[in-house]
Amino acid sequence: MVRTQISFTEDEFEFLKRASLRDGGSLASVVRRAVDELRRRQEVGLERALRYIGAFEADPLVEIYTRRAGDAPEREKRRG
Amino acid sequence: MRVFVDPAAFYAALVRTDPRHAEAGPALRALLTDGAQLCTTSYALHELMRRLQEHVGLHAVLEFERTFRPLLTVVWLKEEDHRATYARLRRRWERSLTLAQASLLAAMDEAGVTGLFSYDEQLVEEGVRLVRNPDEWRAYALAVEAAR
Repeated sequence: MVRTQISFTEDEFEFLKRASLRDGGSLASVVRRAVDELRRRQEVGLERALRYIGAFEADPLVEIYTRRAGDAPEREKRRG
Repeated sequence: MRVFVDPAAFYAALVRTDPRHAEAGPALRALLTDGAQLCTTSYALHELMRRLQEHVGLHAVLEFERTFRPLLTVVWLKEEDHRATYARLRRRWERSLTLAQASLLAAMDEAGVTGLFSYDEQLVEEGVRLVRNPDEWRAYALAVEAAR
């Protein structure tokens, strides 16, 4: 374990006290669980993002229009 | 480590039929797995989402918002930022700079960041260091660390 000092706002501190009383643990244990939860969420988010790299395929018709008309698809050009 | 992202490069990473995907996909993967802080502007975000909707469909926009947006640090432009961005665009009229790119350059100046995930060579003249693949990303990260 690493010992450190953290400052909280009044609101945050009240929340931590209530959570520790409810769960019967220490303030530190509540903070550690919150860190674990944050880490888990970030890891899930990262895994999901990695799965979506290359997951999409462009509509071939839009691609053809785009190549013909520079960067503006045909229907956009018609819109003026 | 902060790196800005150009909408065209991000699009190329997400869309496997894009001609740049073979390079952009591994680059984005390396940025994400190495814990890079990906930054963009609201204009560049709009440009990317517009492009996804136009070329892929609304489902890609919805998935992007759900999956990637929470991983991005977005500089939301205010009216004064728009003026600075527009002024930069006007100064660079001879180049095919987009408003989104101009907003990125302004935000990068403000943040003191030079690394940009992009394939647009003209931006090098603007003092940008292009991050196009995992090797360039790691070289950039080492250079920034060494400069600290």
